[in-house]
Amino acid sequence: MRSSLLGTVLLTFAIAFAFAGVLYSNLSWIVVTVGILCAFTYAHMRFTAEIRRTDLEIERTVLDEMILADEPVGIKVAVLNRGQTAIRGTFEDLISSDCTISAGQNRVTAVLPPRSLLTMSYSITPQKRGSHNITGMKIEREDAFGLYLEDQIITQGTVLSAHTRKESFQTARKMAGREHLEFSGVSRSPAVVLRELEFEGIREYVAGDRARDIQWKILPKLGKLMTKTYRKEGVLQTMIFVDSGRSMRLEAYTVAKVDHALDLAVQLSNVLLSSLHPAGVAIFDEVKVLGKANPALGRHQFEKITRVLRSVPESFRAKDAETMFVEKPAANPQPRTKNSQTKPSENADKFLSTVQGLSKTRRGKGLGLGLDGAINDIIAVSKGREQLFIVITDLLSSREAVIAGARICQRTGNRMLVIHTYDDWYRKQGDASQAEEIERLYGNVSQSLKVEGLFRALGASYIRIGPADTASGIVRAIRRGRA
Amino acid sequence: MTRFGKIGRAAIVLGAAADLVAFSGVSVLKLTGIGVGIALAMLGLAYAYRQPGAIGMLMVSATAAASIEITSLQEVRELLTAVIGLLIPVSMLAWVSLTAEEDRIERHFRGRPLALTSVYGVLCVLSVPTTILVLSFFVTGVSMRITTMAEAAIVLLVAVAGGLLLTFERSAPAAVVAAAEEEPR
Repeated sequence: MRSSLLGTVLLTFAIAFAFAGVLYSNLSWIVVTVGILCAFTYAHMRFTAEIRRTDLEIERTVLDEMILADEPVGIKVAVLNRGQTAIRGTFEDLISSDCTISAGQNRVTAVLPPRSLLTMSYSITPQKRGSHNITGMKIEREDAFGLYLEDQIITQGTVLSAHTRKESFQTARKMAGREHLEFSGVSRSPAVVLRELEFEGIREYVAGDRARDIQWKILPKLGKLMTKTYRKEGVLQTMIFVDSGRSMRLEAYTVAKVDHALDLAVQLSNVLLSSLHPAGVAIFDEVKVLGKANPALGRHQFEKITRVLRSVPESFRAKDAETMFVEKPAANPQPRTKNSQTKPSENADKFLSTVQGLSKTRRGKGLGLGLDGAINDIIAVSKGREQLFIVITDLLSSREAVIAGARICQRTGNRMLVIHTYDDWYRKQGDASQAEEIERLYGNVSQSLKVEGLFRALGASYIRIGPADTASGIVRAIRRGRA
Repeated sequence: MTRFGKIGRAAIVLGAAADLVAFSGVSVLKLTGIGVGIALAMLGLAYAYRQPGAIGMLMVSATAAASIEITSLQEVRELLTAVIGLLIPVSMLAWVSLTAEEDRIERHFRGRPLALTSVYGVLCVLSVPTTILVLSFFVTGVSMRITTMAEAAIVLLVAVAGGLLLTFERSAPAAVVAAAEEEPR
């Protein structure tokens, strides 16, 4: 509790009166001082009791169903004073530092009488995607005499989960129907949209075969009827995995990899759904799957995918941009040179060593952690139906899991497309004239090429992307066989 | 529950002013000071603005303190003058002028704080006789030699110590318990 300006002025006068009493040897001044001190004492005790008996109920309503980054969202706050005393002061809703007020005011100066309601409405604009916490309400309270001030915080919070920017959805909408991401395979389900009949082989004629399937050309040669067989080819069930590990969420320069990956996932899933591919999405980090929408073709599938992608953790900016993730093989990490200009933070080192430890200890064909575990789960329930897994990852913290997933796909006859958000392209380029920087970039590229070779050897498709790559560009590259 | 409206509070201000004038004596200077102070307090009350009320209260208090001569708190006459003629009207005036911004004030303004403050004020004024009484048990004859300056020191010491003691009680943190966070939207 602190004194207000008026309180300070009155206290100064009280002290001055006390001095006057001593100076003039007149106790009247002293008695007046006592009178003013009585007012202070009473105000303090009453204010303390009022604060202790505060009974507020705060109801915060978010007026918009879907919250998007850089788009205003309306918030209505109702404060009910259930106590017996009036509350005087300034009521301020504590919004996150990542949000700005776009309309209205989040603070109101008022006297809230007992058993009465105070409402305020305002709009905030989340500056970035992710969770934004309205931690509660701060009341700069003033006592009934105006002598004391006290900041009271009522922690009744609301979490706003802002999705990616509106432009990303607009792009997804524009791409739907125009772009096609064709991955076909053997269809075993009659529900799957039939695309075409792919030639499979020739067998002896069996009564009932269609005449147009008979291979007439080899009848003179063999002297018997042979029938061409076809297999049904249909669209594949596609699961898009978005890596939301720590390295993906690190915003080293203009855009975080996870934000780019999320935009791509939104747009690719819409392209797939518009081409009648059953599509789903899953978010994973180093150890677990954070959210999943199973592949489907329903009417509300895109809505489900959007809902899952909304829970992708937000990006964060490294302090002083000092954290560097250098791509190195996990098996034999290179010792760090003393005069290296990269200064990884201690937390990043601890994190990477933990993740490396996790990947090292896991050798068996168990259910796995994170991505590979999820792939195992999906394959287990797919009833032998061929699956396509699109993994958007930076191959830093989840490299082992992605490689394990590719192995599983190779073993089980499923397909995988790895979209590699190449780390060096997402960070500010250093002084390339320095030999160490060139060496680092060269080392990363060579490592990346090795990883690419490994994926191709495992039968997975691979494409390396940067922040400038759009979903339509990636789709075209895949269609032209560059992946 | 009875409440004090503006008229009731204006009556309190006028009553306190009459009390102060009665004990201060009548002269042009005193009447001017008290009159201007009362006018400011009334204006603050009328316009629900605390600041002029506080200035008015200070003017009235200063004028009254300058007018009433109290050299000792050992005599019953001067003690009564201090309490009835100065302490009570100044406290009432402070209460009314500082709550000028409120439309209505509940009459029962917190029983415990009011009782403690009353005891505090009375103890401050009676601190001199009490101190002399206690001292007289140990050192005979000291009470006869106590000066006005010493009395002032005793009253101020008791006022400051008592004030600190009463306001030492820390304001509790927000009484509202943190509710469970709402589901993310």
